[in-house]
Amino acid sequence: MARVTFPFGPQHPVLPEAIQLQLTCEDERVVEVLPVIGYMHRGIEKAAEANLYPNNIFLCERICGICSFIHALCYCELIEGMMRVEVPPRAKYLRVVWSELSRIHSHMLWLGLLADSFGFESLFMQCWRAREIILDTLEMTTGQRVIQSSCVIGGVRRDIDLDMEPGVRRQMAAFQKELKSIYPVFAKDYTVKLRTVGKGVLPRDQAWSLGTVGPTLRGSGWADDARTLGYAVYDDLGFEPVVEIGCDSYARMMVRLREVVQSVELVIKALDQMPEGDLTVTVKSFPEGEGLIRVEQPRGELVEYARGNGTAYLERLKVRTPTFSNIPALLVMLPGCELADVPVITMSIDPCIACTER
Amino acid sequence: MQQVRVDRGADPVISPDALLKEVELLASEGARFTTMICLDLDPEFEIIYLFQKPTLDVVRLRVRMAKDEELPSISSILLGAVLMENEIREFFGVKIINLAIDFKCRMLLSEKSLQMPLLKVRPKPKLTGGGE
Amino acid sequence: MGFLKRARVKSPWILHYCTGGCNGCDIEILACLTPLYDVERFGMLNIGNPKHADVLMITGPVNWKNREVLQRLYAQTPDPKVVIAVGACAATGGVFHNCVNTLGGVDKVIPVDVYVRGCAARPEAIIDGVVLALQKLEEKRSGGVAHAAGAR
Repeated sequence: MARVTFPFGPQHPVLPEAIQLQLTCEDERVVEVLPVIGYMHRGIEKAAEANLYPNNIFLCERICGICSFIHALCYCELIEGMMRVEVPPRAKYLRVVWSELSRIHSHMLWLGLLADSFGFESLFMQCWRAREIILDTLEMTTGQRVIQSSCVIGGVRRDIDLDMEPGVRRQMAAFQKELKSIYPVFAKDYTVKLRTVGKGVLPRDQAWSLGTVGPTLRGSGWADDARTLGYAVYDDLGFEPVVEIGCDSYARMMVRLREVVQSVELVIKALDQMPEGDLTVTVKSFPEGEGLIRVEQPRGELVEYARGNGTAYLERLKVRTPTFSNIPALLVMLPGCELADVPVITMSIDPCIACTER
Repeated sequence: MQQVRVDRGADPVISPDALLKEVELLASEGARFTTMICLDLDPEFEIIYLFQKPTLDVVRLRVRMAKDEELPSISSILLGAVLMENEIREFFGVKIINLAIDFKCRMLLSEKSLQMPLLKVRPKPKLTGGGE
Repeated sequence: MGFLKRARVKSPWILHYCTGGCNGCDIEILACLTPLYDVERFGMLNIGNPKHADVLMITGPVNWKNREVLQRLYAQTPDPKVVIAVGACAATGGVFHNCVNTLGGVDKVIPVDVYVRGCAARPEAIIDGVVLALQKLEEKRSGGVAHAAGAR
């Protein structure tokens, strides 16, 4: 049979960002795939060496606009760890609240895009309507919808005070109500199952050896979540990773869906347990030596490494983003699938290209 | 709490020739590739390999090499490393050989961008300007 | 032909392309299409084919690899067309001003008609930008402004 190679992207309706997949097809079946990236590369790692280290927070936040708070949290925790700064407990709880809110907003966004990728337009709209509640909460508490800029080295910039807290709880209750109508559609609907069950299978051992992280790995039966390492206050909140054993697109979708439910509970629990106290400590020293941190992003494990030399500039900042490790999994999932399933399978790893290329 | 500070002295430092044997040993113990970090410590490169054991622990391995030495690719053992190796070759000009997928230094940069952007000391300044 | 031209202003079709920003503006553009902001009630439609588009909505500071794609998209869009640069980095490079692989703004590559402020731009600002773009489209249609690069 004749082989045809054609490009999928970089400008494609199902992808909000620019990535190209060169698909080689036999008839309707994909036999080979080569990801072509680089359309979003900016050179943030180099710019981070030229900026003052507190200014890098704003650069790190803009590695990716969807999970920007967690990028900032990761960078701040890294520099604080290198300088041995102890963050006030209230700030740690606030960081958990905001990072879980960003996780919900990222997962709802993804669930909507997945519904869009198999043509379920009204489900897409419903997910995004529910997501607006979370964005309103973020705007109410931090002042911005997507890029919050509320994390600083030594603490947080803003507070959820007594006037605001009932509002956040009300919003979470409203969101839970919306989620109740969305959850069974994803979990049980006939057409959704038809398009996801058994599509893009990533076997358990291959998921591990290829280095996949986050929901892609947890969907293949590994209980691997960087939140169990206990940064911020996750160890006090009794966090348990969500695991599914299906190994296919449906399992990965269910991991994210159940994580949304879990994150809402974490936000409420963090609000319940939040202690009184200061928001920031003053930081005077400069980062020195080497530091390495792992933080759980909506898409998986984020690894950051920094090397300081006792001045206000970092010598090196390395960001290993989750999608970077998840792209090799596409080389296993895509060959053998139907051409019509390519968008669903590509979406199932939740590709964030702005993260990947930095 | 996770340990953020890295103790430089605690990591094993090996030469490029011994790399494949070490990685094979780690892979047989069930470790997987997490990332690699390249540092330009003029006049040599230091490359930190990070592997993850099935228990969430991270194993570090450091390779010291001269700038013109060749580094074997570990992508034949752990395919997940292939993108990161391509990136390091592109950003630092580290000579990595036997890559499983070779993007030929065009994975992230284009012909017109500044080549090898993360080098601290540029080999020789080009007279005809690059990307900047 | 008069009918087509009139329809173009009443129902602009938008092509969205990200040239390497942080994604924040892209998700806000998508948020404009969803029930809370719902720009479809004004006849605006997000489409994937540049040959059907009237309005190009570009985000991001443009990098060297993206430049040719952007030029090609601009060339494929039929006249009259307007270009909206969404976000601070699409206007000036923004927070990525000192990144090595960026060109620092959409207007370094193609002429831009409307700049939308914000990092990330809010949906209200984006809708405002589209409304302004429609006025420009009407002016261009009647031959008022031949080339509006850098206006406002």
